[in-house]
Amino acid sequence: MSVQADKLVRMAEQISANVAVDDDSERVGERLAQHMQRFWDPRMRAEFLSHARAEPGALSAPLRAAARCLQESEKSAAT
Amino acid sequence: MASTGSVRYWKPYRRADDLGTPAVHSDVSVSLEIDGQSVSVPAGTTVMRAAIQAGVSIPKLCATDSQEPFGSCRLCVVEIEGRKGYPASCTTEVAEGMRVSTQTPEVAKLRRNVMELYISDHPLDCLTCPTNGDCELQDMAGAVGLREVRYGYDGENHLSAAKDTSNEYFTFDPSKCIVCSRCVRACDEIQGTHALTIDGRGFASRIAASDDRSFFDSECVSCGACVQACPTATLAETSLIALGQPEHYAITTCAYCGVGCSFRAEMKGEQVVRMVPNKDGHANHGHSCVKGRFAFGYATHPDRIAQPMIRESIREPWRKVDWEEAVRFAADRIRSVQQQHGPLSVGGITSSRCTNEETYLVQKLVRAAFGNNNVDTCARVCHSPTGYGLKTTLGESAGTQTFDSVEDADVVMVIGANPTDAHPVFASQMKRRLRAGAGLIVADPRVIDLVRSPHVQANHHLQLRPGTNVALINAMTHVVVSEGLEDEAFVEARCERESYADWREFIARPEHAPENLEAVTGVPAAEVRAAARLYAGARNAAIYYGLGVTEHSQGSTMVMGIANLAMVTGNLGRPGTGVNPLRGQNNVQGACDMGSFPHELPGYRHISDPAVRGAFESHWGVSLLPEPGYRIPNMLDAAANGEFKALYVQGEDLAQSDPDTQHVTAALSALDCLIVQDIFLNETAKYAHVLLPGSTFLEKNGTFTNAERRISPVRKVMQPVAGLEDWEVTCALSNALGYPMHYEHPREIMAEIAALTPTFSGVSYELLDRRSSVQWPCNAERPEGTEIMHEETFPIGKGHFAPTPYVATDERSTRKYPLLLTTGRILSQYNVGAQTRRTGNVSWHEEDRLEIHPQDAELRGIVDGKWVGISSRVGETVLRAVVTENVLPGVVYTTFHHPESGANVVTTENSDWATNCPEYKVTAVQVVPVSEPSQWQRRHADFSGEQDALMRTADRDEATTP
Repeated sequence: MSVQADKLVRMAEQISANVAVDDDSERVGERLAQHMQRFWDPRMRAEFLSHARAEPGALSAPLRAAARCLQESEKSAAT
Repeated sequence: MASTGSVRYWKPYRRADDLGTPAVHSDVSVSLEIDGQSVSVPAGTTVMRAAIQAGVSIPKLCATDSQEPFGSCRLCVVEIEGRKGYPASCTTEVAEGMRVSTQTPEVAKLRRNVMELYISDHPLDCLTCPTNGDCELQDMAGAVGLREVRYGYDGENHLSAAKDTSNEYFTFDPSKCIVCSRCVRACDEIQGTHALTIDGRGFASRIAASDDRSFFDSECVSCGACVQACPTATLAETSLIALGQPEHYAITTCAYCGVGCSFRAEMKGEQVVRMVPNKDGHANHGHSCVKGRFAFGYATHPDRIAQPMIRESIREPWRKVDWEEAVRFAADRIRSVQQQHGPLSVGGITSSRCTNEETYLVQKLVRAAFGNNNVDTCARVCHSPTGYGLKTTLGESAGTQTFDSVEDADVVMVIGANPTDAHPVFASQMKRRLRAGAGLIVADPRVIDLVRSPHVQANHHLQLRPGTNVALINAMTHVVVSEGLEDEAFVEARCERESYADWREFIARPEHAPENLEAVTGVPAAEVRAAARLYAGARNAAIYYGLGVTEHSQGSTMVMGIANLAMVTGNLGRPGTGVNPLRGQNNVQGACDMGSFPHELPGYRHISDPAVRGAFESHWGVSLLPEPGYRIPNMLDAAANGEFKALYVQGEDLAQSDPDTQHVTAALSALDCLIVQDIFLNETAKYAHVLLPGSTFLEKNGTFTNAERRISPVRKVMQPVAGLEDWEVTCALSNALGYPMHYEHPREIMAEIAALTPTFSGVSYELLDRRSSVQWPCNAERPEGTEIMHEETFPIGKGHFAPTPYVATDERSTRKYPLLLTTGRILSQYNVGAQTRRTGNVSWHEEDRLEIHPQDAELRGIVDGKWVGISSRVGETVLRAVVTENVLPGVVYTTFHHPESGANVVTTENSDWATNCPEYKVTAVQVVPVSEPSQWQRRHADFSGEQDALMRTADRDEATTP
């Protein structure tokens, strides 16, 4: 993992911990993705996504869910 | 590029009007007759004030409208029909039908006799006296027609009393003292320090500072209130003594903390004789602190950068050039970086020390001329969680009240703020309210002054462990909810039903009970319960908070927790209540308002909103990117990675103020082009390729917005050292980049801001001329601005309760780093100290020190005043220790005002989850006795020495170039 990706994953973990109140990881992932869309430079989101694609197993469930949300909204933006 | 000067705000010098006694508010009007004139005033007004208001002057010495009536000088005696004797007009309240005579042969004689006694023990050196021509005693001698002193001058007197010149900024000359006690009362009533007293009785009475010590060694905090109050030359500014009376003045706004005090810059030509707090100032009402009142000498310090400079690399000497060449060089560098590394590889940082107009232009430059949204501001590292937290819950990223609102508070809760040091003028106002009986809750890991100071004692000091704020606020709020202390009517009427229900279920859980969180916070449950009851039970309760709330990994959560607590107890929307962030720098609020964050356009509107973006696009004639750009920490990370290559920094010192210094300097060193615009060669400028001279607040026009959303004018009283105001430099840079910016005056920039920002649409320089200041929102709906926010609804309609799970920081004490370091600031220094270190304020704080508890010190063999090494997982530095019980065992504390201290070499990259605001307030460290500076300090000294030498080379080259 690059230094940058490592940092982004830590940030994402931190966000997901702070937006979670006994919700399932899907909902936490949605909130995390929303937060990233609102506050992260797209380059950070892209790096996070490419890391998520490369090493999906290394991420927690909410982060994987967030990655899916981001991917979907990218797709819908592209179409 | 000539600087546009303005002289229309300059007024000829005259002493501010004084109505003798303070204003009284009453709905009942009383009519009386003064010297045959009919006068109506509010009930409770004194005869003196009623007379002076009606244009009838009454001689006075001990009376001033900034203090309660005292009645000691007997100069203001009058005759009142039907009353015996000669009552003092300053202590006599008006009554219906009263008939007052202020000038009769009897009172004239009495007044002359009084003056005669005063003058029999006063030096007759008026012609060589510093206050000659501006002395109330001199005026009164003239007014009463004193012609002789029958007692002679040979009797016992105080004429040989020695001067006290221990304070850098003012002189105490007791030989001129008339013992009116205005200084003592100023210290008590206005400042609230109670450092002065009248020692002795009768003829032996004299003013003494703290048990007769010198002013410098006393408890005096050098706020200047006593100097302001003195009617003679007894307490006079050293600068006035040196320079003589000012000849004109302009009203302007202080450039230090977020209180934003209004000042009269009293001038002789372009030289400041003194800065005097403006009695009509809406934020400070005539009060000041040692920084704003006295520490302005940095503006004319020889270290000021007086000419633009450029260099190819940071190991080369600087080359002094003219503005055109410097700006051309900078623009070429930016464009070549963008060609090589893409349009997104550059960015800019706006300054919370600069004006609204200047920060607006820098963000405009980045968005429109650089063509990206890589713009951020130093608020990132202080109050960005306030923006996030308050916007989420209350719908607007701003404090809810005026400062004056504290006068209606029955309970004040101060969380993670140290107002007596960081916001001293507001602290004085707050202390006045506390002395009058308001309850006080302090939540702070340290015993700050407010916890116990003369006539102020906190009902509850919640001395929590650093990093456990959210657990504490959850526990308090849990008590409110579980003990039925909610304001149900407010919640029902003003808040979202659904988010409230979810939140209530969350906060009511037993895990949030104070008993269960005691082990986390370290605060006894009973104390938390009592504090919650006090806060919730008050008619009006107000929360004031500072960086001790925001600079944590859960800073945003804590801000939301505070807003939740205020909402659930109905403490919003009226005077005496509210959620009040105390902003660190003068224009933090303004810099945030002006669209300095990468995701927000001016007025806190998200960049992804097509309608908002469209308005800016059509006004600016460019298309804008719809996505947020990099924040400061992201820029630094990307720079260290080699992906971000050029940065324009206006008035911020990242290399000293931002955490994990070694990471910051590595990032700055990796840039191809660093443009620094500042007044001094600060730590960041040592890594720069272009140095653009900045202008101080005395050298430019504009506005600052303080912590209460108050927009106040900044006025130019001297020419900028290098000829351009900061906004003009940004315009020049933009023009060189090919994006035209043409403004004649900052008023035009404000007009553009108003045209594009709904909350500012009513703001104009004309309005500020008329009102002196205005609090936003200011628009068609609220043409005179908004004192108290959220009176009827929230900007998002209903208040939103956000759940606040307590997620502990990763930064925990360990075996290797067993102590927790927390940081803060002190009264005499300001932020990175670039300004205050270049003033006499260094005499109070010449170096940063590490506070450590006696137990921790003893365990480690640490002795007060000796060197200690402080190491964290990211770095190490060395400071002198102060062994004190102000901190808990396990906690150490320092300030960051001096670059060589390296406090931020130790702080880490940890940051707030929502905003990346650094976690300055919690760093796990070890502290050990050492005998020499740290490696970083040695490297820093070498590098600084090298950079100073490169700067001197530039001076030498210039001197030898024909």
